[in-house]
Amino acid sequence: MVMSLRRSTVWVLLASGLVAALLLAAASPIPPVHAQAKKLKIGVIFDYTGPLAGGGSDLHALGAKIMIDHFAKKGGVEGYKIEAVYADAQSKPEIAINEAVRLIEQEKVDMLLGFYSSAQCVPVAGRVEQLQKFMWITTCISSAVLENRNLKYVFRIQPSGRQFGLMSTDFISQNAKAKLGKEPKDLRVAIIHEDGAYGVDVSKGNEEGAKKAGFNVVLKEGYAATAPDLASLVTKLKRARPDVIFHTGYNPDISLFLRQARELGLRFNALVGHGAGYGVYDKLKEALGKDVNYFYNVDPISIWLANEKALRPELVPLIKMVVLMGVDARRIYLITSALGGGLAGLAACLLVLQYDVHPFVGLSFGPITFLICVLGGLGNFGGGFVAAFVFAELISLGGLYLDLEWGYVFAFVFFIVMMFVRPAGLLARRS
Amino acid sequence: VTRSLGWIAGAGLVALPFVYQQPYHLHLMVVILIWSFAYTSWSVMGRFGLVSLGHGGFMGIGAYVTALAWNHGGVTPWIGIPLALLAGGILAVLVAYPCFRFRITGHYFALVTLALSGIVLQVITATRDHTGGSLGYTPTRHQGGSSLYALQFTGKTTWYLIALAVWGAGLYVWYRVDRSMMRYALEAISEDEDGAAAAGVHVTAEKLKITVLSAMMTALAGALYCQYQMFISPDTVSGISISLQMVFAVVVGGIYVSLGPTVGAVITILLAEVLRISFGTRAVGWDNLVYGILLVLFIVFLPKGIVGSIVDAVRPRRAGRLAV
Repeated sequence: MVMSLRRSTVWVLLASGLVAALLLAAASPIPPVHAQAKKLKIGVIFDYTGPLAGGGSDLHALGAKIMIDHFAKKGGVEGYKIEAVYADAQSKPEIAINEAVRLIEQEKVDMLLGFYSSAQCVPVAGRVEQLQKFMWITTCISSAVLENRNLKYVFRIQPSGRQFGLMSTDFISQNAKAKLGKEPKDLRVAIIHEDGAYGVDVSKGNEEGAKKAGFNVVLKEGYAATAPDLASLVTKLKRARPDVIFHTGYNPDISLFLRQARELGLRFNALVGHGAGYGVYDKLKEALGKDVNYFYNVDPISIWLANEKALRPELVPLIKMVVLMGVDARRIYLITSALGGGLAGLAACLLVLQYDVHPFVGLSFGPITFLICVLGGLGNFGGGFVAAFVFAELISLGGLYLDLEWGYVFAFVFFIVMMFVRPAGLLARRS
Repeated sequence: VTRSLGWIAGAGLVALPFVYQQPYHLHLMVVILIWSFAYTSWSVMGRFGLVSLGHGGFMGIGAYVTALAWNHGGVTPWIGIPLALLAGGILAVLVAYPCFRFRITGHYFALVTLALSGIVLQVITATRDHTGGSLGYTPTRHQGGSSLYALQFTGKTTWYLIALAVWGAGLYVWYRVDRSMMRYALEAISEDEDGAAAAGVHVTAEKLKITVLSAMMTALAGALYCQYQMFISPDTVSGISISLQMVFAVVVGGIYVSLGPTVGAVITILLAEVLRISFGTRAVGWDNLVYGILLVLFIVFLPKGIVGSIVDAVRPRRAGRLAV
């Protein structure tokens, strides 16, 4: 028994060492060949995985790839051959930093292209500036990326978030009388946004525009795009009774918000989104059906909605290709989500009614579920039931009267205190 | 022999950045050293059965207190970091003292601390007017880039040496604890609290001491991470996922040996980087899948961790827990 155990240990060590060695060999960079003199090497960084991928980053990545392939096939630009290295930022700022440094230092790229989330652009731009390489940002619309930073090597081909925000308020102010039957100064508006660089920036534009138009701002609130529950935000909105809601979010949170808004019977005359999830029309329609027809969105038009006849003829097949390739990429993503989510049980089936499914959806529930079980007393069915209600109420009420996150703080503090007072569970008999 | 080998390895590590200058590799090494120190801090208490899932919270406190003091109060990190350590220590006492007093041990202790890291994460996110919320937070650059006063350096070599020194100090603390009477007291406590108390061990005090030590070390790791990366966000330095990351890495490396957490950090970080780079964008998402499977395999087949198993294989005769 002891012998075999030790032998198996040795085998595992050997095998894992071998795997590591192979992987290292596979990953070590191929020595660069200086054959062609004029070559431009581009490092492309987008999120192929994680919540931002479905929120639109993989579409951007696809667009970039199509254009790069197109020019590479044509033989390059201005006599320069083009070569691209692609990297996945996995929806995490620290990975984006790692990849940016790696592409510049190891792969020796001449410039970086891409970046979807402003939370990645802000730190990466600082690094790139330090290394004195070019960074060409396709998305990251937050003003915080460029404003007052005096960057010399970073470029962005996008309007800033503030401009988005101003545009949407301007649009509502112009149409208020004709379409909503109210003077702008009588209009009750709410501004809600995810609290990353992007949402904060657009909401600032919203606020500025609302002030200019004379709207009555009844609610302005941020939330974390990863928040697992937005019901208390919806309740707050119901209480504030806005005519128009200005919303800025990514994708999973937009679907979640809209579903919960529908369930709780939130009413409004107009809802204006600002890109990201609101630009991915297909996904919204999948989630909400006909309701999407009552939404407005400030965004460059999705290419598959573009009028083919108005385009240059050579662009039409390109666009068809985008849609086709999009399906393919999505299938791979589906397989990995299925594998990742294979352990979700019956509760998950019920939760899917409210949530967009993505491979990371489970992460926000695991710890809370566990805490609730222990709070109720392990193996105590009734206790678990009561604990779940108490937890949910604390989270919702905390979120209703303060910011969303404070609800969780209250619930966690309650848990800790109850562990001191009643460690065997809420309904346990005193021994 | 082991000792002289150790000195040679140490000298090699110090000399490394002067010989080898690849910035990406140095960057990885700095990150690995900082995380190694954080993991070592966790295992200082984790090895005695005090499984804390609250270290993500301590790390977040360390990073955010230092950065907030610098940006809002203009307090140099030389004062900010001790403040951060103090804050981490106070938080540890606030949570751990009642836990030990009311004899909350084992899984229950893990869960109480789990709630703690949840609280820290949510408070950082909720106070977005000061901390930037999910957007993250960047310490203001001192003019000129590098400055000892602001503890900001643009060169990777400086950071490498700082991280190396702190990591070495972490190992030294581990070693001192390993050689102290405290270790015997804590081992007795982890076996049987009543027995230890009967034998004259002050259970609550001993556990509290090691918890505060571990929490303060972790807060230091958070502060260093912040000063090096110059960017922190709630998810990268705090929360439950960071706590779990610490536990996984330490278990993979080996919880009862001094170099275990370091090896855990090296393996988990390199594995994640190598997998991501080699799978690249060709097979999106598979790197995480393989990473997860390998982690599970390591934990199932090498419950003593990689270093622990090697030590056992090399010295099969000697019994008991050995320090390398």
